[in-house]
Amino acid sequence: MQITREAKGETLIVRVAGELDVQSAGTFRDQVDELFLASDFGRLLLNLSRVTFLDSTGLGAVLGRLRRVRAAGRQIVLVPPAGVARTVLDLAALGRAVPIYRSERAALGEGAQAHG
Amino acid sequence: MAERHAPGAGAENRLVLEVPSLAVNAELCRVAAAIFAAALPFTLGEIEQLKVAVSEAVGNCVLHAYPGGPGRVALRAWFEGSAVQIEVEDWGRGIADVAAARQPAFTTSTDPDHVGLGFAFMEQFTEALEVVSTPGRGTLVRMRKRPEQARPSTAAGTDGEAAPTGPRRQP
Repeated sequence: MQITREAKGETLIVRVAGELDVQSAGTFRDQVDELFLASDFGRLLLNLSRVTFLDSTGLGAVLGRLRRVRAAGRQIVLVPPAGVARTVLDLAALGRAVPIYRSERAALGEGAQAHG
Repeated sequence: MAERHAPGAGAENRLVLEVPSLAVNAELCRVAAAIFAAALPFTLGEIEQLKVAVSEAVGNCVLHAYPGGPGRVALRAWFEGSAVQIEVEDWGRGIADVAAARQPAFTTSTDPDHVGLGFAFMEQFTEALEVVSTPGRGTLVRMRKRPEQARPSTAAGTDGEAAPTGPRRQP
């Protein structure tokens, strides 16, 4: 699993690629918390579109970030993975818990409107 | 001699793998199970579902079976008719109440990130799930999965085209 970041105004984009599972979930959690929670960004765009595998431990780490970002009074939005990894998110009804966008562009556009 | 992986061929094949209950081995087990199962005409999506199910079973061993440190985890797979049977076994602390543990969102973990959906995903992504556990002795998870497209009358190989060595991608 690899994580990269990019700043876009108030939004921090965190891109995750590879397998998010029982082995990598802890690293994912620590890196996202360090990149975002320890920063001043108001909004986290968590881009999971390049996640190729997601199990319940990985899902738990994603849900945990939702909870912690919200608890910090900040926003989080998602770009989901494809395939069975998407099914895993859907089984947890993640779409009801967090705004989900098809792309980073869509997520950033919607964010700009929300601020306007 | 050319290898063929048509359904039925290699029916006597069998996978037995034993690893320590280390997180790194969840991937090893799910990939081994996926390659083994790919002898049947699973779609890529079905193979991915199987990988999640196996990962959940092994993940439970990694996270819960051996609180005192890594212990043994066994992965076994074989074919029965048009289905693949998979077993994941540990000899750890066991599950006191299997019925409760299989309920969605059940967890014994104190980790706030732990969602307790492992058995729910095993159930969702396989055709049958059986869990046998004895506290203090260990847990055996048995799963069965069959390709959705498997139909006895449309078995592959009748048109002379070699069966793929991996899962077939559906258009």
